[in-house]
Formats: sequence, structure tokens, C-alpha cells
Amino acid sequence: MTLELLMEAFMGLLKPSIFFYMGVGVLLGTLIGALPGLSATMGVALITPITFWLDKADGFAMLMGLWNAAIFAGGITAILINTPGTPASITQAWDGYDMYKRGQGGLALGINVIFSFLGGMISIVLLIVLAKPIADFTIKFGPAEYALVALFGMTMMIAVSNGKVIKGLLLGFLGLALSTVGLDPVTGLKRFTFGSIDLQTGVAFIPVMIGLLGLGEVFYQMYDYNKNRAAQEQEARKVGLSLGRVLPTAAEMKAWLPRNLIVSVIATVIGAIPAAGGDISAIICWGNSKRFSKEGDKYGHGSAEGLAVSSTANNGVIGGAMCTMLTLGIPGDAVTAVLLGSLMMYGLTPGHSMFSEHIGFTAEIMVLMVIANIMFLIIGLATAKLSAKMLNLSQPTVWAAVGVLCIVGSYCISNSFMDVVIMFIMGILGFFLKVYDFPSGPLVLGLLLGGTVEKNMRTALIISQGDWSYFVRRPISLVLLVLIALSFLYPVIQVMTAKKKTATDSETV
Amino acid sequence: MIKKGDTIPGIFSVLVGMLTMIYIFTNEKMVVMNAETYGGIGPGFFPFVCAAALILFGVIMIVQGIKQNGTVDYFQMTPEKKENLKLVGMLALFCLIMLLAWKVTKMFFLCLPIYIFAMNRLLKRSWLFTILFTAGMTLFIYGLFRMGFSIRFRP
Repeated sequence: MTLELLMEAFMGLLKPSIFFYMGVGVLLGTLIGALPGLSATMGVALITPITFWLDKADGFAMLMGLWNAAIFAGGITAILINTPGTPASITQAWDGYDMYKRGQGGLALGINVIFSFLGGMISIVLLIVLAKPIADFTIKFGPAEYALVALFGMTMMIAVSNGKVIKGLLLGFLGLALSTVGLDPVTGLKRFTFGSIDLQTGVAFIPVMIGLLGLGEVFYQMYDYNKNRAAQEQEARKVGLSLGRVLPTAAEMKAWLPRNLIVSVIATVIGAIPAAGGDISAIICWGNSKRFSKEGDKYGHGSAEGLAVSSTANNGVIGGAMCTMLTLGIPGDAVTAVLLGSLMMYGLTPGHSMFSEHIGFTAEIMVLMVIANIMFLIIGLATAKLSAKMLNLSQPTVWAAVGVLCIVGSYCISNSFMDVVIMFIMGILGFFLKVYDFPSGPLVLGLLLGGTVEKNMRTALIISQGDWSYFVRRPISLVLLVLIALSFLYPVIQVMTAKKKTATDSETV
Repeated sequence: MIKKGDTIPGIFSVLVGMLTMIYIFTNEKMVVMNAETYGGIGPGFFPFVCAAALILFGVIMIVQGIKQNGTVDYFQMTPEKKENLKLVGMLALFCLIMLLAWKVTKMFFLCLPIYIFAMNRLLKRSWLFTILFTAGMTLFIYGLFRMGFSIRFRP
């Protein structure tokens, strides 16, 4: 990715429509991130159908604005009412809320904006530098490698499904099964279409996401609603303590900057690992920073440094997640899964082609990410003290709005009533998955990557004339097979180690 | 209410897997293994693998559920949760009725405000809020999607 290309992309993006749609995206993202229960993923899934009706660059400007802003805005509720707006903001609540109670709410909000910006920018720079070499490496990939890369992405999601390995595997295979609906990629045979023309193109990905993460989430929040808890949150919103200054001093910035530069790099690497999103990054970076910091004992009790680390870590994953998505076609987190679905619907295939025939658009995406960061820095700092007002939107209002947008959004992607039906079924499924404590990520990845796995695996077998050892004889696919085996074995080893440790502890006692 | 732990989702998984198997084996074109062509596997191979995995992991979950012996309760039914579950069921029903009405009448902008109105009343919003929200949301959808994007909403 050359500087000239990025400059060319930047000049091409200097249009009022880009800034308008990105501004709308940033404002929506800030609202979505600041409202507990609405995640960046849900926001991106709900807005994606609208972007299909816009110019490609305008649509992505809106999505990038929303995504970047929603992650940082999740910290607003974490700081002001001790409730993370997004899972990635969990560690921000540990320090930010104490700062707010001490009368440093403004500074906490300022740190959230500035260090989210820092994490985002560093990760985008790393994306710009690293994406092309990784994409160039994928030239060596054949169908066998592409099938195994997709499979690896899925196994990683299962490996990090918080100890729910069986549930993760079950849903991964359910997603794979759903991906087989429609025309067979090799023979063109209709599978599981039951006479429906709509189903011949398969189960559309975006309606599934809208159902699982939108309607399903609304159903679950309604089920889990607790009047006392809601009243307590309402009281916390009314407290309205003095916020104080917003900007950190130069000395504070100087003290926190080196640590956060390192955190940005680590967060980018974590973001590049499939399925490891902002929450995992924030917890790992915050935990390690606490261990190595001189003021580690203050972490979790209103440490400004701890809050800065958390803010950097959750936005730092964005570049890494985009890197894996653009180069290998594997989503780094749930939001990039939706973005991957959008790219595919635009007729773009992630991988080397994004850095050869579509390099202009790839450069535009990267520049849009930079602009989105700058925009939320300006809007975030300017409105830091106003952001507290946004929290006054009640949950039933949000449920009603999301309930309507799910129906409209799923229909307008391809004017298909079947998509709305799929969204509704997935909404019901999403509700039960949450109640029964299933991680929905593997289902999403199975559906998204299932087609890639099947098509490439069968193509590889046709090339090798049915010889399965073809996957082992090729060096890259062999490495990938080992990685897949390790990611399957990792949770098993983890459980065994934990059991051994428990046994040793009880013996010691 | 339901203290079966992981048994229920396990049973569903086995059912889905078995139905998929039945589909594969009752459809002669859904060849699983084919030594002659297509690299040795047919269009039924992947669905077969998925169905087998769903049955296998479903059985594991059923066994897990039995071993849990009622200790794991996903539906912890407090009176408030019972009430909430009723609301969820009603909202799902409203949504379903709305979709059916839309399909039958083809009049989306008649069905939509009724759905929004019913949903808000279900959520115990005040009459004034319900009317304002219904009007505002309908106008927003009409303005953005019907006027702005020219979507006809004809199922």
C-alpha cells in the first residue's frame, strides 16, 4: 500500500457526501455505544441494509464511522453509570466510574476519547503497513489452503467460546449446515430449498445477523429486565456529579503515552486473531499493564492510567480485525463478520484480490477508518459533557425502535420477504441461544465461512482426484491443519490443566 | 418451569440432525460419497457431516443435561421473569401477525403503525408516547426507505 495510493484515495474521498454519511455514522455509533444493551455489532448489522442503497464509499464511510464511534462510546456508560455500553468497555467501568465519583468524570471521558483515538490510529497504521505483505503471501494459497484458513477461523471461534466448547461446536456445525442451503457449489443441485426460489441463493447472512443480534437481543433484554436494577440505573443517571476538566495535562499525556503505544500494538495483534475482540483485548492489556505498572495497585480503583490502557486496548483491535478480514477473509470479530458479509454482497472477495484489482477501494476503506477516528476525536471531545444526556433514553423505547428496524432492515437488503422470515426465526433462535448460554459467534462464522470451506475443499479434492492426502502434502495447508488441531486441543488442555491444578490445590489444603 | 439443563437444546440438535439425515437419504441426488466423480464426494457430503455432528454433539448435551440432574436451571422463573417471558411471547406473536398481515394485504404502511402501536402498548408506554412514537417512526421509515430509497415493501 503506497503513500501515493492512500493520498489518491484521500483526495477521492474529499466529498461532502462522505463527511455527511460518516458524521451520521459517528453520531449513531456514539448513541448506540452509549446505550447499554446496544452493541457496535447490532448497530452495524442494522445499518448495513441502508448502506446498500448508497454509493459504496458513502456506505462504508457510514459503517466505519458507526463502528469506531460505537466502540469508544461504550466507555461513556461505563464511566458515568458503571454499566459498560459494549462488552469491550468492561475494564473502563472498573476505573472510569471511580474517577467519576471522585469528580473527575470529565477527565475520564476525555481519556476515553483521546486514547480510543490513539489505539484506533496506531492499529490502522499497522493495518496499512502489514495488510499488503500478508495479502501477497496468500497468492501461494490454493483451494486447499483457502478451505483450511476458513476452517481455522471457525475453530478459533470455538476455542475462545469461554469453555462452552461443545455448545460452540454444535452451533458451528449448525451454521455450516445452514450454509449448505441453496444451490450446490459444484453440481448446482438444489439442497434444502423445499421448492422456494428465494432459498436457492442460500440463507442470506445479514438477516441472520439482524435476527440473532437485533431481535434476539431485544427478546432477551425484555426477558432479563429487572425493574429494581433499571430503577437503580435511572437513579445513577440522575446523580449528575460535577465532571471537571476534560483534557489531560501535557505531563499526564507524557507519562501515559509510551505504555499506550505498546498497548496499541498488542491490541492490534489480538484483534488480528479470529474471534478475539475488544473485550478480550481490554482484559488482557489492562491485566498485564496492572502487573507491570508502578501504580498497579490503583488499577480498578479509579486509575487514570488504567482507564487510558482500557480505552486504547478496545479501539486498538479494529485495525487487526480488519487486517484478518481483508487479507484472509476471516472476520476478526463479530463486526468484521458483518462487514465481510457486506463486502461479499458488493461482489468483492477478501484476499489477494482486495490488494490487486480492488486496491483502490481497499485504500479508501483504510483512509475512511482514519477519517472516522479523527471525526470521533473531534465530536467526542466537543460533546464529552453532553454525552451524559444521551443516557436518558429508556430501554422500552430502544426495544420498540430496534424491533421495527429489524423488520425493515432485513427486507430492504434484497426486497425479499423470505429474508424477513429468516430474520424472525433467527430472532427466536437468538433468544433461546442466550437463555441456554450458547455463544452465537460460531453459528455466524459457520454460516459465513461454510460456503468457502465447502467450495474450496471440494475443488481441492477434484484437483487431487479424490486424494485426501493432498491437504497434508502441501506445506501451508499442513501448517494450517496443525493449527486447526491445536485450536481444537487447546480447550481440552485448558480443562485438563485446570482439573490438575484443582486436584493439586485440594491436596495442599 | 424447565429444569432440564442442557437436555432440551441437545434434543433439538439431535432432531435437526436426524431431519437433515432423512432429507439426505430420501433424496437420491444428495450423494454423500461418489468414487467416480467430483473428487470422491457429492452434494450430500457436507450436509451429512453437519447432520452427524449435530446428532453427536446433541447426544453429548443430552448426557450432560442428565448428569446435571436438575442442578442447572436456565429458565429461573421468578414472578417477574414469568411476566417478562409472557411479554416476549406476545411481542413475538405481534411480530408474526404483522408479517402475516403484510404478506396477505401487501399494505406495509398500514400494518407497520398498527404493529408499532401494539408493541408500545404492550411495553406499557403512555398513550401520548405511543401515538407520538408510532407516528414518528412510521414517518421516518416512510421518508427514508419508501421516499429516499424507493423501496416498495411488496412481499
